[in-house]
Amino acid sequence: MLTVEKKSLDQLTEAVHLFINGRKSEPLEIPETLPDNELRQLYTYFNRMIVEFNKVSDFSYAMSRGELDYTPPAGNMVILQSFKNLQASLKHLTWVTQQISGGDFSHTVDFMGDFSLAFNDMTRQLQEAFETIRQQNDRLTEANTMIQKDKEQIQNLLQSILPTNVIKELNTQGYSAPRYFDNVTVFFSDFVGFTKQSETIDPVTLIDELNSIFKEFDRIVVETGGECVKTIGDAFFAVWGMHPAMEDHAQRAVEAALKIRSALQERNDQWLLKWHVRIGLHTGSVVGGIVGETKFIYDVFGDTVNIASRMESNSEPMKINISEDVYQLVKSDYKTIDRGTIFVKGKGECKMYFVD
Amino acid sequence: MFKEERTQSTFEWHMLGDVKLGRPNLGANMPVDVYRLMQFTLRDEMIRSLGVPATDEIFFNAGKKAGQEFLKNVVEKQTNLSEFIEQVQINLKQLKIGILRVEKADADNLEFTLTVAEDLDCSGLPVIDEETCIYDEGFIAGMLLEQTGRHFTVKEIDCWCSGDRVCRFDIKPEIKE
Repeated sequence: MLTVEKKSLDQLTEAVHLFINGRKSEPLEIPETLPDNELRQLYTYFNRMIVEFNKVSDFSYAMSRGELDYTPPAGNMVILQSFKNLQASLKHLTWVTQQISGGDFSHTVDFMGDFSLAFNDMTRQLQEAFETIRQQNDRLTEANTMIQKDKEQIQNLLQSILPTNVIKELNTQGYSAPRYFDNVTVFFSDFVGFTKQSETIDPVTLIDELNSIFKEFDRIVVETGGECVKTIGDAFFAVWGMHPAMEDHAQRAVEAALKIRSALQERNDQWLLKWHVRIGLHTGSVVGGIVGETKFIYDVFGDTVNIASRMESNSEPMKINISEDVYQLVKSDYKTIDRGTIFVKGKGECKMYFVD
Repeated sequence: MFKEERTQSTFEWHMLGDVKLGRPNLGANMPVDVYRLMQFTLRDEMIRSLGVPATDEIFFNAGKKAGQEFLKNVVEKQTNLSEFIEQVQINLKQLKIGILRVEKADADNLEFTLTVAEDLDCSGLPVIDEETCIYDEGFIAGMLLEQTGRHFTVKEIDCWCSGDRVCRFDIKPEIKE
């Protein structure tokens, strides 16, 4: 017959009381005098249960605080295994969520009852929303590309009409104020007998001819650092030293004039239709600015322009006629022929030179 | 095919035969018990003849070969590890091998903790304080070898047989000594 002391029963009762009231119990002190019997065995198992249960409590409490990396204790208690399963599921969910947040919507969860359905449905909706946003982004990118292309075309068109600095001003300020340029060289050319010759040529051919010749003029002007202002019928008007300002604007203008004459001569040597130009150059100050609003051009004004035009009209076929101001700047660089003074309407007597 | 002596593996997927053709009435599936009957009697006889370490090595290597072939012929190589795990999950579930889940995945260092619930080899076995899924260890190592071209150490740290409800595998790249 097993004899159980009241103290032992009290110890066990107190431990169970603590358990069911949500408190921890420490392992029970086994009386030294207790023989190796069923009661000692009960003490031993009870203490093992207390230790394992305390570990499971710590684990479950850590889980409830969201500490998913808490290392679970070893043991076979059903409650421990259940919490370990829950931990495994939550860790797996965390990983799946990370994959989805990284853009991989193909992941799903299963075997978690209604939660699986809800989670997978949420993923599907996220994917649809993401796809919609992606398509909208694609459309926006496409539209942006087209806008960018159009902008580049407009920019190219503007560059063919306006100087780069003026375009920059328009882009940043929305307008470009007229500007005074102190020291520039103006070039004017005109075809000799153009009106008479044009009467004998088909209009389409005539335009083709002008276009082809002016394209070459244009190329030479740009090559020498000048800018074409405009063409007026068969007249060609260009300037050196405006954008940008340059010290050798006169030399560059004369160099361009020589190249233009030479190019035209070469063309005449090979072409059925022969064209001859008069060229005039003058150096001085001008004002440049945008003229017009709906149909605008960048134009250059001032007495310098008028005198350059007079230099051209007082020139001769395939000759480059320069004013005294140009001559003073280029006389040491180019061979010239002094023409003496020639009367210029509105200016009186003006000294002129041919560049040889 | 099955009677030739060999020093290198000659296994190829086609050796599984045309099950549909061969089993028009009984079909391709059979109970898990039958699978375990074959595996456990085989293991039993191998342990008796060769001992536990040699049997474990054979099971690991066989699992590794199976994992490689499974990846080549069923899962197929994926472009990244996330897709690889997803495809393995889908296939293991479809073929009722187990429910694969990821507890930890460090893609930079290629270190993982995977769990397999309802494992074909061990779920429902008596709790005997042993990790028994050696074949699974090899199977996972084989799939990873085929996917990444690297050898992996796969160690089962929890098993149904050791009292857990899932099999848990610690996986890291093999360090050659």
